[in-house]
Amino acid sequence: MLDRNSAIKEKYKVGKCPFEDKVEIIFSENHNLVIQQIASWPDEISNLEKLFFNELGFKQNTDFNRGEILKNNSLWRMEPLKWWLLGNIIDVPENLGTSLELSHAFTSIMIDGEKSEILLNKHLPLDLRLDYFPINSSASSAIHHVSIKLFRLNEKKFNLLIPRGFALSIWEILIESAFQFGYEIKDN
Amino acid sequence: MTSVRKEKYGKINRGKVLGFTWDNKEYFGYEGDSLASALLANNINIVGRSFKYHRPRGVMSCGVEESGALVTIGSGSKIDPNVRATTQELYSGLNAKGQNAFPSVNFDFGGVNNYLGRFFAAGFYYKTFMGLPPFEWGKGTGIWMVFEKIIRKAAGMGKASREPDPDSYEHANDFCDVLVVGSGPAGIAAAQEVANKNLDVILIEQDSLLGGNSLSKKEFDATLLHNELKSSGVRVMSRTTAFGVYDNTVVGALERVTDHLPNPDVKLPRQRFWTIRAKHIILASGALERHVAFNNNDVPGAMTVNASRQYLNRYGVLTGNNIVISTNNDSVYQTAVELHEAGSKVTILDSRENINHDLPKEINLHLNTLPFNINGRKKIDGIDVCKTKDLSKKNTIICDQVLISGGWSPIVNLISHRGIKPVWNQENLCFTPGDIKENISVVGSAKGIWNERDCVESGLIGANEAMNTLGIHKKEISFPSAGGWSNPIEPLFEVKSNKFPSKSFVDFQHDVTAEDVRLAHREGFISVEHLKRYTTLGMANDQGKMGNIIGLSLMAEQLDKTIPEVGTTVFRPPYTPVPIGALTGRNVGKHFRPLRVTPMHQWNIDHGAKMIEVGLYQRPWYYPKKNETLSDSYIRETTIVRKTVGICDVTSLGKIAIQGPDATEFVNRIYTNLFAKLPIGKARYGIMLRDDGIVMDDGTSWRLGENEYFMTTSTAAAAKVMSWLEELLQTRWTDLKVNVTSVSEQWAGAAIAGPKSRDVLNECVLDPSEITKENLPFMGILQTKLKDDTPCRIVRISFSGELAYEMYIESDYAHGMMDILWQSAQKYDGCLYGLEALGALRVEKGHVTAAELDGRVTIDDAGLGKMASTKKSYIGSAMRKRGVLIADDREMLVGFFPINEKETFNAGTIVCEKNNIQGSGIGRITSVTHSPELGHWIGIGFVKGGLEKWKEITLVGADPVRNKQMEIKVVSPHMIDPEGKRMYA
Repeated sequence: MLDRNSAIKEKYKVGKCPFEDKVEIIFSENHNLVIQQIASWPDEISNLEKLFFNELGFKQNTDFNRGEILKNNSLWRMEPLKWWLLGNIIDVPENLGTSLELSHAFTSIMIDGEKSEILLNKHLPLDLRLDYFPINSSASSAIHHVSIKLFRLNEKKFNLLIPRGFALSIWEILIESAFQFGYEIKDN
Repeated sequence: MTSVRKEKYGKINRGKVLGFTWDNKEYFGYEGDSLASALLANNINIVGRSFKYHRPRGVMSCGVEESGALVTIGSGSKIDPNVRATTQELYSGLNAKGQNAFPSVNFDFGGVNNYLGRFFAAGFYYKTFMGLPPFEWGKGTGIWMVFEKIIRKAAGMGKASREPDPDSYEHANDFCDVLVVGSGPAGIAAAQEVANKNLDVILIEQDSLLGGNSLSKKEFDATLLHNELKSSGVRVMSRTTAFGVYDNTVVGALERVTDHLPNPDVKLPRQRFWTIRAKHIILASGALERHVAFNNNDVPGAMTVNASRQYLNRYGVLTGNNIVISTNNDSVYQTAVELHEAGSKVTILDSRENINHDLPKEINLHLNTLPFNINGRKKIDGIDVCKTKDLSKKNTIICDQVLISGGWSPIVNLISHRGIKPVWNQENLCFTPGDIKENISVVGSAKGIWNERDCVESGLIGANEAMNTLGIHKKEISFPSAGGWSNPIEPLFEVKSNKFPSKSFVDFQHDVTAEDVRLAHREGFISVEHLKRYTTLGMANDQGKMGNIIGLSLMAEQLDKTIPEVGTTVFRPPYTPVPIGALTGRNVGKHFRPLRVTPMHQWNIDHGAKMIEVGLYQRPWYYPKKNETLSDSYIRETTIVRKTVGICDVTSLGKIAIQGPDATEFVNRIYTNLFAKLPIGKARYGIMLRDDGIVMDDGTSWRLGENEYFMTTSTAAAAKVMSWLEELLQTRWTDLKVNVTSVSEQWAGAAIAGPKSRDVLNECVLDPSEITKENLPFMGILQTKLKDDTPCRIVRISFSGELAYEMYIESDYAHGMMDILWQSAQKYDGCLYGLEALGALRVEKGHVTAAELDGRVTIDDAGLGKMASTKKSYIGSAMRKRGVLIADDREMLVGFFPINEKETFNAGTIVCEKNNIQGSGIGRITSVTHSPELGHWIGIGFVKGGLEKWKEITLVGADPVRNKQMEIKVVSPHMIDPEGKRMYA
């Protein structure tokens, strides 16, 4: 098998770039992104949720724009009839819906640190205050006219999914914006 | 005016001295100074020249309403003109200059305009349109052509740099429960009250310090206030101006991040453009003190009264030694006392008959007295005063400063942005906010409340109003009444005089005089909106802050109406200017648009590709060898593809996964041709139409499984087709169990074209036996593995007309795929080819792209009518049969050759009959190229009636843009291998 090649490899320089001796943003790319899109038919939602419970152990029925994170994977309800399973791939019986791998369609950037929310709000018109976008929330929005997906993993950590072809451009803009906070790019 | 720095006054940091430059001379100020206060402290009186008459101007206010001290700061690429010295914080090394003057603001040749004022009255340049009387009466604008050059040269204030802006700017979003605009007593009270209820509060203040008008108090501590607010949980944004209020309680704000810093870190943006979404807005934006129009009311040293108090108590600058205060209201008396205590001789002229204020005996109070004329040109020597009922008898008071207060105007600009008309308050002679039906409260002096205690009360009530609307509680609320002075204000807008060349200014920013307003009335411009445009009253960055009310009062007098009957102009955003850089944010340079690259982008560059922007995509254009031009390169690449093999990045094609039990039915309804019986493992070329029967796009669909298709679209129409499919499923065919998902980013694609393409592929895949003519026939598809075991998809398909394939692989593996393909192709003397060669190959073959399928073309026009099924219904199947779409004289796809094979032609060339070269002709050439195989230029395009009608007839290709014509002939669009022997090989 060929090695996976990151969309932002050319501009992904591991290291620190502090501002006033502070590093308040930590970037890391998930180089081995695995996304399976599972789309259900309206009358099969409950059966699909049973599958998630039986196959993967997800304990709750995730609401639209919410997710659940387990140790090795996470499940996000991206649309009323569409889920994204991150971390592994499962077989989905055809009668329940359709399955599609999107692991190479996106670049996944983890944004962590004290100013992660503020950095994201430089570009995203999303209310990311914890009360309004709590942990395990997801949203579809746009950065610089490019559609993105955002997951909140914990209070300060977000997973930003950018369409692969635009990832380099958006990555450069994020880095420019992060200068003012001081940032670190970690090897993941 | 003799202004001096006073010990024991001000909130400046005297421990930190800051050097700055004014008109190339060095001066000193202190940390906490504004440029204006530092200039005043250095007794610099003339800081600008007026717009039209080039009259000397000094500092006239202490805030954003400043019209006199407009200066240029910075140098080189950092020049920033029209900066208000009153709002520019002083920093070490600040370099400021006067503007609109030559050679300097102290001595300006342009000052001669003041004596030619009769020729520069309102609308003077409009009159030049009418021609020079009597020679040009009724003829128009000959003289304007002369004046225009002069006026254009003289117009404008300050000069911007011609160099690119070196600073960075950014956008930002924020959200809160309650947004408070303004940190005066009312705003502070509101913010604290709401924060105490644990609501998320943002407080915006345009100044560097909090406090608003409280900063003019001697004992006020802005730092303490800031800390109190922060400990209450209020998010404070200072140096931030709310410049506009928009739908759904959205506020636009501009934060000046580094404008106050001497050497800002390049990592910081200069300014930040905020979009703040609040659930409720409390506007505590304050009020502005007005001038009075009278003779020479603009001589340096004329200033609003409260500004002088600010300079004294905030900056420790006593602005005059011998001060005359002219007023019609109570707001000046505390200032008079403080100026007196600071050491100035103070005289008050009050236009009212009676007032009840206790004043120190050293302050002279003249009741029933008006300012008539300021004496002096570059500085104030004295003021002529007169009694209210007799303007003819004048006394002169010697003074060096005249402070003026003609009343106060609540800042209703922001609430006006919501379309809420201000209401005239006759008792307080000002406009106050009208009835508000949105989640916006107005508090404090912005509501016309002058008394500080009432302002605080209104802030608390505004906070409760906010909490009512947010459902925190339900309380009865009642705001304090407007006003609050002991003695009522009396109208004083103008003291009339016609003493030429003296002028009585209404709007200092644009040199609009009281006489200009009357002239506008005489000439019929009586509506406030016409008055504004004709005289320029309230234009530029003043935006009606200072002159609006005076102008309205003058027009009301002329019309014998009241001010509310005359009305007011509509205030529109921005409240203060917003630099274009801030509007643009980071969307500049290479980030002007988002860049989209293919997964092989770097690989292509590393292998010598020259890139070209196609939409948002960066695509390989051509791969030049040493010293090759574009033309050399693509001709070589095209030739090699026809001879051996070439590899091309085709990732930019749109790719859509169509899944579900009804996927076949869905695809069959979209395309014109039959898909119902497409076997698994086969692909088919298809055309899809719009509802109106016009071609929308072409592409292929591969049947990967019983219920799964992989559709490719043209690069240009990828997003449009995806949206179209979603729309169909969500609005028309909701019964179909189909999911569509864009997989354009998931898959990278490469075309392998040429007679040796099969050999190349065989070396690349794990099992070479799979790539045979039988196993992978034309339009066959194969899901297989590269020789290193990486899965891939291969389809035998040809855009070049040669034996060709497209290979798709998951995007992260694209580099590796290209390495493998290229390694193999080199063995066959193959090449990499770019978009230019791709275009040449397809034009030779007569294949259409977006250049041909431009939204006007039917499937028959494109010569693909045989693909329109008569056995099924599909999108556009009914409408494509409309008469106009099947007329005989429609333009049909054809090929074009130049008669003289040495001639070239361009896309866009109009096809005409030889004796009728005009208009849109009989057709158009849409794509051209040099054909290496044919040895001359070729084109494809459309001509009325098609090939049959024009075969053997010489036509003319007219290119009026390039002033070019050549003889052409119409040929079949299929110029190479029309039988498809190579493609099916």
